[in-house]
Amino acid sequence: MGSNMAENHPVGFRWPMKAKERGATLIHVDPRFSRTSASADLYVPIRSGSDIAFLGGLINYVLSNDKFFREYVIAYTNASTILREDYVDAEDNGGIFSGFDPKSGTYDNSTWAYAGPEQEAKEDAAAHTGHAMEGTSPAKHEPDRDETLEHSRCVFQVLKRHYARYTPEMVEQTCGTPKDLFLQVAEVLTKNSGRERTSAICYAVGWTQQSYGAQIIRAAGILQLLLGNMGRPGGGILALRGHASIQGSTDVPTLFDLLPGYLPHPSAVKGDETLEQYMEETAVRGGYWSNFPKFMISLLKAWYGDAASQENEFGYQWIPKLTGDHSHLSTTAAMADGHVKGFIVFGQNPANGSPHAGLQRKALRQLDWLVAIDLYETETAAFWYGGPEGWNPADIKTEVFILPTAGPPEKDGTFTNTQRLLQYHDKAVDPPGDSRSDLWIVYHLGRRLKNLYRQSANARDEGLKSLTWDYLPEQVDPRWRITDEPSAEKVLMEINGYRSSDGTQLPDFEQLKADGSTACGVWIYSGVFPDKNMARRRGRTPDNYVDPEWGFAWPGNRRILYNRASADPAGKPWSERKKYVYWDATARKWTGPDVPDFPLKKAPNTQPKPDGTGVELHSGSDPFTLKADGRGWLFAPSGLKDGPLPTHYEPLESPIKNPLYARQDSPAVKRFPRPDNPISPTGDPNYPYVATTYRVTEQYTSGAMSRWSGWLSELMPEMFAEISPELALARGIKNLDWIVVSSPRARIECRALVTRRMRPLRVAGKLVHIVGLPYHWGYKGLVKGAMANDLVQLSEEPNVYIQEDKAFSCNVHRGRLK
Amino acid sequence: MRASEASSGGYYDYPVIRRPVWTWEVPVYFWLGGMAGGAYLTASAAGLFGDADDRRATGPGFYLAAAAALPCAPLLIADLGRPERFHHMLRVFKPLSPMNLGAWTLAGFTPLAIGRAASQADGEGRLPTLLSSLTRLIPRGLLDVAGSLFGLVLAGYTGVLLAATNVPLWAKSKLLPAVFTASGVSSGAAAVSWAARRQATRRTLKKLEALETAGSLGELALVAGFVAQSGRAAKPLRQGPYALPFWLGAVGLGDIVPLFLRGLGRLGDERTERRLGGLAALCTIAGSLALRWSVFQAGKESAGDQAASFDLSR
Amino acid sequence: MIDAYKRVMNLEEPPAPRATKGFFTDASLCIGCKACEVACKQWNQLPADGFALTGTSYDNTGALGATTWRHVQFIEQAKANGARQEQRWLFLSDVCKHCANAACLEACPTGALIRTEFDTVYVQQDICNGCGFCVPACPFGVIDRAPKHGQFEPGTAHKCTLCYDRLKDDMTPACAKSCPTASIQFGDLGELQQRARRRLGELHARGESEARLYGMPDSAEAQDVGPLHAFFLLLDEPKAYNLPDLPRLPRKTMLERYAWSGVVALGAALVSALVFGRRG
Ligand SMILES: Nc1nc2c(c(=O)[nH]1)N[C@H]1C(S)=C(S)[C@@H](COP(=O)(O)OP(=O)(O)OC[C@H]3O[C@@H](n4cnc5c(=O)[nH]c(N)nc54)[C@H](O)[C@@H]3O)O[C@H]1N2
Ligand SMILES: Nc1nc2c(c(=O)[nH]1)N[C@H]1C(S)=C(S)[C@@H](COP(=O)(O)OP(=O)(O)OC[C@H]3O[C@@H](n4cnc5c(=O)[nH]c(N)nc54)[C@H](O)[C@@H]3O)O[C@H]1N2
Ligand code: SF4
Ligand code: SF4
Ligand code: SF4
Ligand code: SF4
Ligand code: SF4
Ligand SMILES: [Mo]
Repeated sequence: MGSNMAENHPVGFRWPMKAKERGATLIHVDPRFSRTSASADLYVPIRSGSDIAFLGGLINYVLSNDKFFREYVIAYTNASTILREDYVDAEDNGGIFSGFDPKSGTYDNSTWAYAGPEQEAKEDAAAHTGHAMEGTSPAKHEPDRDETLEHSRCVFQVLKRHYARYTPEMVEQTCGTPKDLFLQVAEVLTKNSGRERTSAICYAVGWTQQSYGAQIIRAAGILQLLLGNMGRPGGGILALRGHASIQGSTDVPTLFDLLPGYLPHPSAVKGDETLEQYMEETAVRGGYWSNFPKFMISLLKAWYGDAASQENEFGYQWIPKLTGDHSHLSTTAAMADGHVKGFIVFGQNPANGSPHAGLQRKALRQLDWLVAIDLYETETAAFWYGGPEGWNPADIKTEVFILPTAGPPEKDGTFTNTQRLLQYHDKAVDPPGDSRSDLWIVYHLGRRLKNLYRQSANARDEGLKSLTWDYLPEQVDPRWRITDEPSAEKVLMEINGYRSSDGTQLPDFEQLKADGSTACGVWIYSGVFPDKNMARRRGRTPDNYVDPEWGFAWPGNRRILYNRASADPAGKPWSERKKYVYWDATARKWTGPDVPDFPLKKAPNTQPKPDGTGVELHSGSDPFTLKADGRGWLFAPSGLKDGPLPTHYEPLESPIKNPLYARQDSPAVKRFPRPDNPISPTGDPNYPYVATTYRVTEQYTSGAMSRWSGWLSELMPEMFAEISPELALARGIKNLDWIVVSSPRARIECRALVTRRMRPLRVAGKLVHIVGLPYHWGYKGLVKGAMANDLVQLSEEPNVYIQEDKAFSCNVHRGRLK
Repeated sequence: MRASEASSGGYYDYPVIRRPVWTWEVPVYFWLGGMAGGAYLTASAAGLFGDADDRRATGPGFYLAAAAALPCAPLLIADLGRPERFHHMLRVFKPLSPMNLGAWTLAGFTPLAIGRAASQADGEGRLPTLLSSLTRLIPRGLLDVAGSLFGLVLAGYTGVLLAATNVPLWAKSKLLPAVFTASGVSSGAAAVSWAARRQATRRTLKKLEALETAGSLGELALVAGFVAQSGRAAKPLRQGPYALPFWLGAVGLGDIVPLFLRGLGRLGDERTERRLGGLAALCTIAGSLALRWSVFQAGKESAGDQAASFDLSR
Repeated sequence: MIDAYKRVMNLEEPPAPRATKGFFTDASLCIGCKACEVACKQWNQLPADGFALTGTSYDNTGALGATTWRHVQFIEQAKANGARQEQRWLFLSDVCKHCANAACLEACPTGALIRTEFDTVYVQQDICNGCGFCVPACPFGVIDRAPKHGQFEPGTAHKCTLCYDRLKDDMTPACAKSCPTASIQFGDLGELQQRARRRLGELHARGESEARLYGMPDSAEAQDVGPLHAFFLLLDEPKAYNLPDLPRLPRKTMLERYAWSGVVALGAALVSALVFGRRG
């Protein structure tokens, strides 16, 4: 669901195809009949933007037909946990949970907490940022529970009530999915889950790029927990990630609100003035996150080396503190208003690939300077002369610099893939001409800046001056022309961590200390370079299908997270067929083909230590070690800004009223109410159709890379819109006709591809047409074409700040612009 | 919409086979080659079986045969994708390939035609002594038989060449090579008759005319059979840009008009008869070109006809 | 003299025969990713063929040709008999069939088209003179001549080489190597044929009643052109994939046509002889 795996992850799709050969049933739920649908056993149409209704329908089916995996649910999830009395569910409040402040459009999540003894540890760290640091208060490690699941305020009952109205009929009404197809999905899924069998759900940006994307994934999480599909082989929720190392990019990360390894970024507005305050706010008692101070101080040691000491808070003050939302889209808005002077784009093409691309280009105009570091001259680098606005270059004040960069084969480094697997690759050739690797550019920029500020007496420059910056290799590789290339392995060694005293590499993150004796760049990656580069490994293990000697999967080379859940509470495999990690009573340790994601020697019958810390607070049968209570969360007491339970809202632009709640759209979404970002009202007759954007195999994202390749461009040479024969007939459009697609933001022209693969859906009693728009074209490259992103509005999902480009309103006409 | 539900049930309306890459040189070569062979045959037959008058009157036929044969090789070479490698045609002897067979045939016929023309010139006392004594060595009778044989193959193999493809119009009927042979012979006879129209005796002319008439009638019959057998494949001969050249040019001008003209000529005086006879001959020659050209082009067209391809390969 | 001829005409001794190699392309496994098309173009450094939207589903390639040696078809079907889904989108990666009796090879007047030691059909680029005869001879519309004045190997005929260069170094052909789902399987022909029979059995057992093999030794389509060394598993009748039911081998029709032309020639000779021989 929400992924077109055959088209966008074709190499990975070989595995679903193999599974199908071995009898697995492949189901594809998507608004379009795509190449994935063609390879699936069952294609299920759905209206863009209605996934929570669909998943909620499945949850309701599972609960009301008693199809959940009871033993698993009781032992491993928070189903039995009792909630506070003052919690009000969206079901009882027109679609809004308790704690909502309509003025700020934000939730205070204190009423979502578990009932039970008061908590000793501090506030909710996840509230700092959208990226949840899991398991922090108010999720108590010792809440009140009712294992019979009958208490009216226990999570199970709350869940049941919350989804009671998500009936197959309601799913059909809301999603346009025929009831019998929906029930078929429900049956296949429930039949294929339990002790003997597991089902996996794959998703990608068909889910994430919605104004409640995180909640859709949460809904899948609830479903999979109820069915006992988490932490077990063949189960799980698999995020099919995007760019080659986008997983690495979130781990390390390139996000404004996180420090490496998912540590929340200190914030000026939350009172993180001192390291102590920050740690107190963030630290938690229960679960593995209790080790947070070790991760943080080791990180500071990695950055500032000897300059980081107990006395100067390990250099904590040198880290800039957040003052608010500095995400890509918010920054765009600020830039458009003239609040941003300079912009460095590293391998990104916002003038085409980011939502409301017209606004993006307008924003670039307001800059004093723009540095584009890329393989090609992208639409972004060429905005000042190439865009559809036809601007006169003389009127543009922005000074544009293009730094040519090296492509993957021209540099060393790691890729982290969807499975959290790091794989190292070696440089094959020198990049041509002046092109340099990104590492080279960053390293030498840093080196020169440090040089520039060497003499500065300004206190705020201390950080820059203290930064450890020694990545040049001991020996220059004689094979290459470029001799001042930093060593990517040295960077990886710092990421892995070392002992500050003697610089020896650390074997794993268990060794990290909060006293400054260890340094570690990204705690979750620790173990990738103990004595050798584990990401380099290419070992096959014939009798172990997880191939543990191939590359390195964080954390600690675990291939399946929370794999303790693959055994029953007593530590025995749930079934012989699904045997994975289990308790070896004679050796008194956990074993199996994978590295156990659990304290190795902690017996299944271990009782929690109420006066302990971290995972000591968990019993031997609490598999979800990062959570404060060690349980899988059906109900999320914290970590999400838009509600503890996924709830169906309509996209910001929708042809219909929310069939389930009075509340139309997600209350916590960040909107940008500005004249250049108009939003069409519900049921707007001027924009009656649902537009969705996506990819095709033949091109890559904004097309910046693929449209320069003749071999790829000839395969998908022109921008097109996919429409159903019914819509074509209604609008007098024939196959290959030029059409104009419009939204309140812009109008673009492209060709029509009339196909039965698109079909109108009957939703809330009316026929809703879907217009499919790939977003690969622009004004540079061998083939050019209109940009779908000109049509998309600027908005932010509240947890991860992503745009809603999977569902918005549009219209189509035959003809061309002008 | 070019849908997969297209009538013939194929893949959209994409052709099943590739369109031949040959251009105008090919039909012109086919026409000249056929005519050369036909002319050679006519002249040889007159030489071997006819009387002195016949011999005298048809002698120029050998010049015509040589003249028509001479441009053949250059035309063929010009059509090659890599003309400088023309000699690769004779790299192997592979009669299984009509193209290879044709190349060897042309390679054999051209010197024969030139030799025979030289010998004819010598007979007419047109050669200088040195050359003349050389040409005397040529055994005329043998040359007549061999040249005629080569000539007939040259006229006919071109049809087999086209037929030995999967182009619906060319391949469907069994009669295309026969049509080409007939057309070659009648255009050759016509060429000889045209050259002889002034000097020849009436009796010789009558003989030539008889030959031409037989040719025209035979060709007509074969063309009718060809079109009938071709069925759907002959669609581009029935409609579109090649219908007119085929029906009016190849059939009308090439066969019916000459028959008519010769009939008409018989009604008038001798001068008119000779004049109309000459005109009829020219018509036959032009019709022969029209035949090659229209069948060639229409064939290329039929290569794009998916249904005709399916029809062919059932 | 003979040596000189051999030199001028590029006549060389052929290498010793090796195991027969081929492709089994299984449409039921194809996901239409076109990796094979791109891999082939890249390995063989074939140029792009122009940038035009065809409107025929996701197939903007259209057909095989001089610079396209793999071509993935996209067949959109509204309803399929017996299939579980309401609609189908069938994919197939088409390629030169490397026919056992190859029409192109038989047509070739220069001997440029040869059968290699792997029993595949190959155009020797240094021999081909671009006569173009192989082009309409092929019953599958595979081989084509590159434009005379183009950039890429002008004027000679081209088609899949079955990666002759890679086979010589014991490498898998580029297309098969890149196929993520093993829709393109490369190997020894006999073994591939066995595998294909097994696979067909599986599909039939699963209820894919329309699945069939195309180009197997005992099949109708192999009657003339012989077993296809690159053969296919199809999910619909051959026509749906633009494959002829009974691909013709022109050679088999030639004799009859020569005969008819011979009859006419003989007739013409006789008539001429009679006409001129007639006395009086
Ligand atoms: N060939 C190729 N591969 C790629 C990329 C590429 O550009 N080209 N991009 C890479 C990147 S960066 C990423 S992030 C991934 C993305 O991979 P995917 O997420 O698979 O990419 P999309 O095509 O954007 O969207 C997937 C599907 O979501 C469907 N969809 C749209 N709206 C909805 C909805 O409301 N609900 C549901 N359930 N489905 C919906 C679309 O019809 C589409 O089929 O692919 C990566 N792989
Ligand atoms: N409407 C709509 N919009 C979308 C999406 C959608 O589904 N619909 N999907 C979104 C998603 S998931 C993504 S990931 C974005 C992608 O959007 P962008 O990241 O803006 O677009 P790309 O074309 O992937 O740009 C990547 C750039 O990196 C360059 N590059 C490649 N390798 C290197 C390198 O090693 N170093 C450097 N410095 N540069 C390099 C490439 O040349 C290219 O210009 O688009 C988003 N936008
Ligand atoms: S583009 Fe690369 S990462 Fe994506 S599917 Fe293909 S091989 Fe895998
Ligand atoms: S498919 Fe065509 S090109 Fe390929 S071997 Fe057979 S006849 Fe020759
Ligand atoms: S074009 Fe080349 S390969 Fe084809 S038949 Fe002619 S010489 Fe042979
Ligand atoms: S075998 Fe080689 S030449 Fe033939 S299609 Fe595959 S990659 Fe191309
Ligand atoms: S690479 Fe394989 S799966 Fe992809 S289109 Fe080609 S044959 Fe099909
Ligand atoms: Mo992405």
